[in-house]
Amino acid sequence: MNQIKQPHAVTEAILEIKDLHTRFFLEKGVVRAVDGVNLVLKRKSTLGVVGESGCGKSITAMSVMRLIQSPPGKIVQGEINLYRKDGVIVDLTKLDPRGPRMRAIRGAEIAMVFQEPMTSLNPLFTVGEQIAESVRLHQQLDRRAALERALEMLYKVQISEPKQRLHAYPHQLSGGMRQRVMIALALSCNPSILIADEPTTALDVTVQAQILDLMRQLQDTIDSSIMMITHNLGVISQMADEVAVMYLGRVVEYAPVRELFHHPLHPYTVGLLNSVPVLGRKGQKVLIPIAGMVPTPTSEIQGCAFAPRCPRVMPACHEHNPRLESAAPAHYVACWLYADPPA
Amino acid sequence: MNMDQNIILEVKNLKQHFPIYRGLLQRQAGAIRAVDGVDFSVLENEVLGLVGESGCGKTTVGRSILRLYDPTDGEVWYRTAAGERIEITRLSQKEMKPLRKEMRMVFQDPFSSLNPRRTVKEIIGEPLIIHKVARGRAMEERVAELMLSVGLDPNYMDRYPHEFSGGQRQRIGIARTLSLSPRLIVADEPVSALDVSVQAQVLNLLQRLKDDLGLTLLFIAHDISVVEHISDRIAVMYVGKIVELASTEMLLWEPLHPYAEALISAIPPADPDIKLERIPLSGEVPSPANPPSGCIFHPRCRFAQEICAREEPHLEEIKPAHYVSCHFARELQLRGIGGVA
Repeated sequence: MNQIKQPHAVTEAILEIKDLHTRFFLEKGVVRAVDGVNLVLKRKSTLGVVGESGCGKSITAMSVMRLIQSPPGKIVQGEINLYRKDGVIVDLTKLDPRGPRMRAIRGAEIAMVFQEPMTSLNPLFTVGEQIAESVRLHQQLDRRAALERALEMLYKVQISEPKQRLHAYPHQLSGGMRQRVMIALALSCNPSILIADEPTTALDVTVQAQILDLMRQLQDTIDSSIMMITHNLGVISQMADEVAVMYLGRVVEYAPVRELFHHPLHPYTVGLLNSVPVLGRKGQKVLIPIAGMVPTPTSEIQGCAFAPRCPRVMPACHEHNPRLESAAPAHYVACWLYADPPA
Repeated sequence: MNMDQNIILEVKNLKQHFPIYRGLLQRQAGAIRAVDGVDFSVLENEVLGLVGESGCGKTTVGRSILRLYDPTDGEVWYRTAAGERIEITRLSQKEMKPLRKEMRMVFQDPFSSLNPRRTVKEIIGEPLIIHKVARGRAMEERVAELMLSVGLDPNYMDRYPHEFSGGQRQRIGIARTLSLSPRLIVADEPVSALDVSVQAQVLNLLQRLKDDLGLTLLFIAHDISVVEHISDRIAVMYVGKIVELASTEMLLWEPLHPYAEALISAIPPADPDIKLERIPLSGEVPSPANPPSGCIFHPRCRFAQEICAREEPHLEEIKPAHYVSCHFARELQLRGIGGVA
């Protein structure tokens, strides 16, 4: 473990993922969903995690929340360090996922917003009851005070007619309002970390813009760091301070957002940026798809996982797996183009 | 009406209402006006993009045109390969059958639109058998040719859909669509279920097929960046109506309808140096079962005047080949993707 390089000074970190491996042991084989992820979420900043389906971005988030179903899933290696305000460092991988310590952290210190607000809200309870339940779980409040807190949260997420909405059931709300409720729910206990997994993917573009606006405003007023998981490069460019690009269970590039968009280094990042249409660039931009396809998750690849699709592949790529290393100030990349492979 | 020889499809005042039944006796209590008076034409060998947010009726337009629904009202004129203009909304399914070779559809979800119990050969070859075009060895040869044209290995024709990735499945769907050498393809969100790196493969494929085969595409999608990339012209829909229709460049850089302006302003630009400055839209999208009076957009429009609630605007040619449905289209100064228009 001592070879793992620290991407950032630990002092400003609030969450640090070190060499995380999460695997699923299935009949058809072992899925290495997260295969050595190193990430740092800085205090009061937004980390964007991009990648295509199956790259392990959601499983990384679920590992942090300790919501990986076991069996078949298991965190087999690595650390997830939560840096508390009082200076205490907690390694979440050492906690019992069902135990009282993890349950106290989940929802209160680290909260999560999911992609599909319809399936993550309980259809049988009103919006107010669900927010109040979460509040009462973590704070010593009676039912009335918890409901008041719920109402306050609905005001905060700028839902129209919050008093009426408090008594509404999820099916009575539009998709955008449901996602606002999810955000209210997640922020109701003032978490220091908010993990948002594709929070706007199921929404229309005008509603997406509203939700992104809301998240930015809320971040200014509360003391939260956001880990924003998405496949949408537009959303990332608008929301993130730092970006981690994932491919097949690994972080292949990690850099500040402007650096990543203007000077991408990893061939996969370059490929992603070249393959998406950008509004207003019709005629100036030819879409260059990435060759081949994402390998099946059970296949074990020798060397760099992107090598079979990489346009700049070299012999060394098939032999050794590159580590995430500094290629420029604050810019980390896992690629043999920027480091010397072992002889 | 325009008798332009280049028009392959002309849609006039198309309406598609779905009845709502209520109560013990299941009386008709109203109707969802999914498509409520839509006019447009599609030119031969062009890509017309149809955009709008969920529930705006864009998919219903596509399905009504192909007679997957029976339109409530309006006309759809199709010009056949033989040059004959036919109004298809009143044709029987039997009369439609020969036209179905020429007008086909690509569906959104390559996972649910392919029969999991059929091999790729059966899936792609089925239309050939139904339309008695080819069978046996000839059918197999045609399937192999089609698979090659969409970039699939013909050796895989005896495999089942689950053995393919999402992008490959969409290629199978496209090969099936192409099997009868269609002239007009309605592609309903053909890339939205795919990963970004694969989207580009399928978009480039559609573009190439359109050029090589002289196809005409009605490309329905919610992602305006994707639509911009492939479309010659774009129509914007809102609650069952087209509010603006123009060339791709005009529509995006110099929109004339306030809804189109707001929609364009909401797209995150994929460049951290350009800050998203969306034009806020108040309120929610109205229900197509109970659309507002006058202009459907007036309750959310920042320029709305008294006339907008009273009188319904119609799609008018405000600039050459630039159609807008707004009382104030000639006066408003709106913002396109370049900033201030």
